[in-house]
Amino acid sequence: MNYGNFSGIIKSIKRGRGRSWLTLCSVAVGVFAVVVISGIGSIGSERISSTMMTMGINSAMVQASDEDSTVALTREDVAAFGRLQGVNKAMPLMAAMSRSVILENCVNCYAWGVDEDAREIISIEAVYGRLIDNHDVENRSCVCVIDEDIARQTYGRGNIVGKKIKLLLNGSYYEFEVVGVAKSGITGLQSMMAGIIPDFAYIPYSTMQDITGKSSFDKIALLLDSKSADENLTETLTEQVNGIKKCEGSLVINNFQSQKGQLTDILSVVTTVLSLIAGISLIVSGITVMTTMLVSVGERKREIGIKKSIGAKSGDIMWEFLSESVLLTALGSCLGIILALLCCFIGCAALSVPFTAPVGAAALSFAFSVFMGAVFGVYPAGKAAGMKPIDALRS
Amino acid sequence: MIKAENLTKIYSPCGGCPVTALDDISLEVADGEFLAVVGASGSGKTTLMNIIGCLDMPTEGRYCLDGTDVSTLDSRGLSSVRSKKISFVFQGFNLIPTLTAAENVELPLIYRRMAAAQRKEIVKQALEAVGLEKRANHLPLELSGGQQQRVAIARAFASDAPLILADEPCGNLDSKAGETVMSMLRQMNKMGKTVVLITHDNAAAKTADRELRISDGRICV
Repeated sequence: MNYGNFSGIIKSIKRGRGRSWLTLCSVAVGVFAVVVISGIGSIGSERISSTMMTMGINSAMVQASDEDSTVALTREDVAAFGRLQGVNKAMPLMAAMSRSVILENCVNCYAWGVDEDAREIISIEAVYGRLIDNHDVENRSCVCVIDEDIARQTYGRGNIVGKKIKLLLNGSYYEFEVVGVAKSGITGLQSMMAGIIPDFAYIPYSTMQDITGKSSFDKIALLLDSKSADENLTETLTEQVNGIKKCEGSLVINNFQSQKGQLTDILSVVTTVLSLIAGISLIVSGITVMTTMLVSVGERKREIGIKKSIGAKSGDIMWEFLSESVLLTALGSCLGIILALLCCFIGCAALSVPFTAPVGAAALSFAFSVFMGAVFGVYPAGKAAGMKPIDALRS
Repeated sequence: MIKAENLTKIYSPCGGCPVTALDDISLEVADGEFLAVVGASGSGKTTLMNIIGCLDMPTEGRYCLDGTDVSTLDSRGLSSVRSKKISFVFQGFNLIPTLTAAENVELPLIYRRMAAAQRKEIVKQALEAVGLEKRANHLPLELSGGQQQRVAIARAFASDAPLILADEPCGNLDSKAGETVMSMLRQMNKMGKTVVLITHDNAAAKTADRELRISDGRICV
């Protein structure tokens, strides 16, 4: 093959500037479509993932199964579960149906006994004030954090830090000081409760143990390692926690991972299908390249004849035309990728979504379109290479 | 250098009568000879040049170039022979319009896989030899007809092939430019190259060592 005549190939592309530019654009449009669709898919998937992360996607809850509620979860179990592979942290949880009374307004809620790790493990976010800390747990303080909705239903405003609230626990009302107001909506616990309980109140778990007279915990919340969090991990952990407690099948683990998997699977299928449809345009652009090259071969018959008369072998001519079609598709792909990335970047900026470059899709569509350029360039290049020099010179 | 025996070339156009362009021609050209093939338009001289230049194959007959029986070669072999042994100077110059004078001269060397540095040096020398070193970066369209033909001669000079086939090299030139081109061909002949000049111009043919007259596809003298 003759690599020395590369500048000649560039000049040939430049000679048919208008035609080359249109061919280049047809390739660019195909690549643009594939990369943008994949970009939307990957950004969407990222968005689902990050949104679910704030919903507590990586948290899971260990609790006794409905069949066997006699298993007692202890401080040692919290420590042991926290050390399991795939688990980043573990936190004791107490839970009870409750009713909150503020300014003589009654609101049904679910009371949770938590500690300082609640922010991280079950994704509670303080809108006003603070969350429960370890100092509250150690002192068994009568402080609580309530959902913003409860504050708005009772006081008509969100910030009710410092106000008193009565919570119905174990058949009696206990007074708590509101130290924080948490963002209502999607926390890890609410995700797992599937919206059955509208609002939550959080108190130190030690305080709830005192009130309920329990020394064990109702549940243990786990923060799973986001990299290894999948359905298999849940199954493995269920086996392991039952192994630790030596109570086969008595403990179950609930989490939101499977729903995430289903959503991302659906998005992935939709993205793949749309990308494949867009990929058809790459084949169409390959046909455009072939048409352009055939026209070019027709126009340059005499040039082919001259080259053959001065010693060019069929392989040299083949290489020149094939390089031209591959170069056209490569340049078109680069243009398409640049435009697509720019489009994704602007779209992400407009929607305030973190920009993720669809590198894989860009590389794949580049490789595919260059391959198309080579495949669809073979026929015109072969036609040029197979010309008899005398016929080419006579044209 | 050239030994052709009983060359016959018959063109058979689709749906038309076969045309005999060459009819049983035999000729020999010695190494370093300057031969002029003279004939009127349509006499078959260009067909003869195409066969001698390995651009076309005879319908019948045997043709040996520098001891190689060209009739037995395939397309690749013919390309190789053209690359190593033959240089053309055409009436229509046959330069590639998108390439500069220097690039046109360089092209046969590229096809010979010569190293870039060596190519540049040879191109420089060739253009100097035809007095066009200052027009090296000009496109053919920016040159006069005479200059374009000198670029074609520089290309033949650069390729250093032992056989130069010149088909009406002065056909498109004025008399002064034509004389310059003819003197360059003679100079190349003096350097040891075998030159076959195809022309209908008797005056140009007189400058050759030997004349071969061709008429209706047959050798007359």
